[in-house]
Amino acid sequence: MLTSRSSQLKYGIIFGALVVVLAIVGLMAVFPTATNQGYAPEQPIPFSHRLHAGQYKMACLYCHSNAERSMHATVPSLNICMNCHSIVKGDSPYIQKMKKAFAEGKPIEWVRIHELPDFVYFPHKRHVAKGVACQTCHGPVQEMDRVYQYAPLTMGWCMECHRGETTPRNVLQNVYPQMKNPQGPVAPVNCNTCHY
Amino acid sequence: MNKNSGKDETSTFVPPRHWLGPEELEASYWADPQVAEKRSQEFYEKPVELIDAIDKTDTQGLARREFLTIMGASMAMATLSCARRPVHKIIPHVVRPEEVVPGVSSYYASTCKECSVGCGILTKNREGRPIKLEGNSEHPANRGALCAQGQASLLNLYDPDRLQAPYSKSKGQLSGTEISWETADAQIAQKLKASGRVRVLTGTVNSPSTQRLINEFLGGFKDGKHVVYDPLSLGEISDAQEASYGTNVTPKYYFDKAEFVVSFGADFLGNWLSPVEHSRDWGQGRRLDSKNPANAALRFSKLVVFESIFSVTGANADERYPVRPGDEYRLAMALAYELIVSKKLSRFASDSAVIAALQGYKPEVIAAEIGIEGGAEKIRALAEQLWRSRGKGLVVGGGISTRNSSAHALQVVVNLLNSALENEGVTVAGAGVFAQPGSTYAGLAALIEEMRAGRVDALIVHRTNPAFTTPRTATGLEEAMKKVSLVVSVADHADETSRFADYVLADHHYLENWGDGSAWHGVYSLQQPAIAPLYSTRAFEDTLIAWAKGAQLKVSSRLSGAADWHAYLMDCWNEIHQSEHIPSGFQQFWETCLRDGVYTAKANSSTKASARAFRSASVSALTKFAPAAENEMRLALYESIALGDGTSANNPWLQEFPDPISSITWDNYLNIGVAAAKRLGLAENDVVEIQSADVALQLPVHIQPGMHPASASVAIGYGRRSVGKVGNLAGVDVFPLVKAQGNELVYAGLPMALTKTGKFYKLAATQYHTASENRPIINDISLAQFIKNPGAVNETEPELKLKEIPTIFPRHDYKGYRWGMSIDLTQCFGCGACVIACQAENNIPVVGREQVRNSRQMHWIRIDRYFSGTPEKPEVVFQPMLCQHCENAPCETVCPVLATVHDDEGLNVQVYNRCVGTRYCQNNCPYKVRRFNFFDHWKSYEGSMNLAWNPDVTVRSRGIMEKCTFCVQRIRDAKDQAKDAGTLVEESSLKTACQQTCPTDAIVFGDINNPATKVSHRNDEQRTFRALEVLNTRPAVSYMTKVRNVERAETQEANEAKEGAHS
Repeated sequence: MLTSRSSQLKYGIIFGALVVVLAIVGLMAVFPTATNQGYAPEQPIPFSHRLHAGQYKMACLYCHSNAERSMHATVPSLNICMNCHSIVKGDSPYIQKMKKAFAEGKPIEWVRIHELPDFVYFPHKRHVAKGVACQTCHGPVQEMDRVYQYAPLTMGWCMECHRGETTPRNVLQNVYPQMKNPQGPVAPVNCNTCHY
Repeated sequence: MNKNSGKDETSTFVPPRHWLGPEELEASYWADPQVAEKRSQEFYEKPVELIDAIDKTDTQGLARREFLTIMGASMAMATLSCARRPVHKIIPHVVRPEEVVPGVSSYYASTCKECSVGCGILTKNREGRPIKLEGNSEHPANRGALCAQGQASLLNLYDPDRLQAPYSKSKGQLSGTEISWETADAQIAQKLKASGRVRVLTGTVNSPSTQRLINEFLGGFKDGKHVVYDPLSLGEISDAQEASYGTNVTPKYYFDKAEFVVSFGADFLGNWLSPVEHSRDWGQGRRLDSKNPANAALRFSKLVVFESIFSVTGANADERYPVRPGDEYRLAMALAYELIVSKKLSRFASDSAVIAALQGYKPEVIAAEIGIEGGAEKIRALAEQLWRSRGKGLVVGGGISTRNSSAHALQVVVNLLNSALENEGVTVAGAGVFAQPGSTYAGLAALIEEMRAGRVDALIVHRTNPAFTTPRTATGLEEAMKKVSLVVSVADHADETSRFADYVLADHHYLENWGDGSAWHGVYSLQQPAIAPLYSTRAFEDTLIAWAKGAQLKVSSRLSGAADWHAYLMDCWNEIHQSEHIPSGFQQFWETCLRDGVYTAKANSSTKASARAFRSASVSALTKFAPAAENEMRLALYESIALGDGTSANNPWLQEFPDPISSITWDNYLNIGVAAAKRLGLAENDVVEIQSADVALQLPVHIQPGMHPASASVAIGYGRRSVGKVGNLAGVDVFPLVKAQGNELVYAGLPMALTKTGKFYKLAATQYHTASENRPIINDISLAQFIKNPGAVNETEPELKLKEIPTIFPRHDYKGYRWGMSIDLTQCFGCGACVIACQAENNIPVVGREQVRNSRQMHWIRIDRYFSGTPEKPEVVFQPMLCQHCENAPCETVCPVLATVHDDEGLNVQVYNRCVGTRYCQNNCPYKVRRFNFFDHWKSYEGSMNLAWNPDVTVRSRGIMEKCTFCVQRIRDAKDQAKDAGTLVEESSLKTACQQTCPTDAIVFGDINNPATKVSHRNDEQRTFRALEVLNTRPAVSYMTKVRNVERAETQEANEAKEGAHS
């Protein structure tokens, strides 16, 4: 076969491109910031989940009640906070800040931690209904003073669970109630399960 | 078949049975190598100009490919360096309203105010903003359906060019100084206090409460009068009703009870009176059952249309006769003559007054004069058919395109015919009539006269735009308005009429306002705000209440005591509550009505229509009209399906809506028949100058098959000068052509001269964008053929019906649901509501005129219109074309990145985030339904328009492919609800956007794995075929053959002739 200078150049470029791609993949593996894992921004009010969900054992769904009704878990509106804090711990400067906002009708602007790209539709409701614990994806929130992103939230990570590889046992049991040692896929893995 | 068209020059040329334009019927068209090349290409246009532009750019000696490579690499580096995404905020409610759950839609019943019908709607709200409108299935008029204009009215709410605050100015100026509502109220109230002669000029008011408020407000003045001017209102119908029956009403028509319908120019499926209601009824009368084909003969209505334009109704006629504008009246008279005088039928046969009035309208004379196909014989046959179906027939007439000096007379003859044929009281009724009688120009003419004479102190204009919708200079409106010392315009845009106002007050959009509506007597619907006002706007009704108080008018206690419009409205409904003797309390009644959106009065349901006595004097009073000289071109104006009178001309969805007949977007144009174009030496896109009376206008030409050789037509509503960025100067304003003749405006039968300018203007038509290699894709048969053999589709177009084809590919296995759709082409009448519904539901962008010319429009569902027959007398089939969700999808096999794949419920899935834009799939799709984003079209949505996006559907960016998803977000939602309930998805709970809005239920969607669903039933019918089945794509969408109620003796012969030509 005849190999000309130009085709050598062509192979060289292809090889070079491969190296670059591999380097990018490697970098992304080393620096998980690309997935935002571990992202723990400062919030306008240092609300402690360790205190509320951990120490006082408040149910997650007390505040994030929309998680079982809607696509979005939602951050609670201030009137939920005021359910307790109209009485509890009114002297704290942060509670006062919150009360002031409530009185003025100005919402608190929280910094979003968990964020999927715009082309992904993740329904909290269906996952809660199937018995997926909040901690499966959000980590030990009850131990966090400042919430951080626990899971990588990448598509591969989602798929592992949908295929039944990393699925919590109680969810497997919900899906395969008749099996003694349940295993198998638990959710559809069509593209349009999440992307549409 | 017709694939050989013109390719082999030695064989006889066989034109295609279904064609897109008249040129396809000429052998020379197919012989043109350019055409052959274009049609064999996968894409109508190539994305050349961008690449050309890059090629031409001086990139410092770099070749284009190198340039792109380097650009790509630098892009990659740029992305790598900032992996951290931007910080986003979550802003929850301070106090969450109980009924609002972020991410969950809520629905509010309301009333559509886009036209004067007032159909019931449901607004789909997300996070406090309406994102989609749907018909309210409880409302007796539209019964869940909605038209294209109604669907699109959502976008008017978010129009960034809307008036955002009140302002005062001097007359003649367009802009002025913004003022506060308090200042405006104080100044205007003070002036009103000093005014005795006050006029309120509005469009048709179909709200009983608003009407009452206007009346009570005007009652506070010494001389207060309400004037209605609505160019689309068919006042001639109510006037003629008064002449013939003694009551000034717009009667109610029952197209479902009519077995035989004759229309003289009435586009009742398109925009005549209450089109959604009429088309729903008409569809009811044309249902077919393959299992009992013989029943069809009894249950299948027939439609005959005489018209001067080519309307949607004409396209669905079983028999259509093109006439010259203005000839409709004489034809109707000839029909009456034949029936009453010649055949001596009906009770008018002995009525000397009627007989005397009909003298001179012998069918022979009229047929010769008008030159109708079939001649007097046809008129005789028609009269006989009408008589045979008496009591079960319906004659209708009228509309803008018939509005010449005989418009009133036409209605009187129509009344005479309906009474003679005993249809009166059965298919057309004087009970349960439209809540508002139609209005004519007479009211405005009198007002202009008063203003000119200085007899008006104050004029308040609301929801009507006479400075655009009348021939302004001819009527003297502008001069007259200058003579009124106080002119207030309450409008949603700084429109043409606002220019002559002293104050322009920003009005609410109807979705921001309270109100009610009444489609017909005894049917009341409520309108409730679905969103808080976006701007500093205020309801017209609140404005009147404020002025009544500010000027201390002596008005009724209801008005002076009302805190606001909402309270006033409740007070009006309290009266309904009392008069209906409803046992439950008012609050409960109000809340029930608010939830249902509509209340039907008890009396209404029990009222039986009875025949009214026809007054023969109304016929005797008609004057005779001289016919136009032969071959003299006559012009008719008409209202387009998209724009109507141009009120919503700033709505880009409507501007880009392809006209059902011409498939042209963004412009109006002069429709001219094929023969006339030949005679005048005109071609498509030629610009001509038309001269009518003393007005000359330049318009591009569209050659329209099925036009009378001496008739031309052009749509009103285009060429707005003062509505906003989208609508300004799109098209040509033809209102100056309208002739003001005393108390009436003449829109039709205008004499015109035509000269070629030598200029060209490329109309943005979508006609040939999807032209394929002319494979048969559609079929239509006659009712006789259907009765003989419901599966006739197998014989007439055998390539459409290939049952099983051996394949080496394994078949898909659908274990659970398998989604499929069936579209009945007999029911589809081409209104295009589905196109806009899909656009609203699926975030489909608008691309603009230039990109439509480049065949880059983005509609996921389009209505393909095919003609058959001759260019002089074409028949039409409409075929909604959308992604067929093929089992053996050609697109799936060619995608190099697996961005288009099959899911296990039969959907062909487009994965936006995987797509890299090779366009191979579009190339390989035989249905041409895939759409490519050449640009970031979403960026053209400005400011508030972004609120219209559906949050359940990804907004696509540049460089990716998209197409119909079968509304997968709705499937998700239905499955979600079914899972909650622990059941399977119910058919009734899942409707695609196109199906939901279809007035005739032509579209049915559901699980085809379940034999009990409607779509499965339809698939079992013999009439069902699949588009291009010969390619073995195995589509999930099926079509049902179009059946026409036409005696077609020639079909057999035509087939034989065709076969002869092939052998």
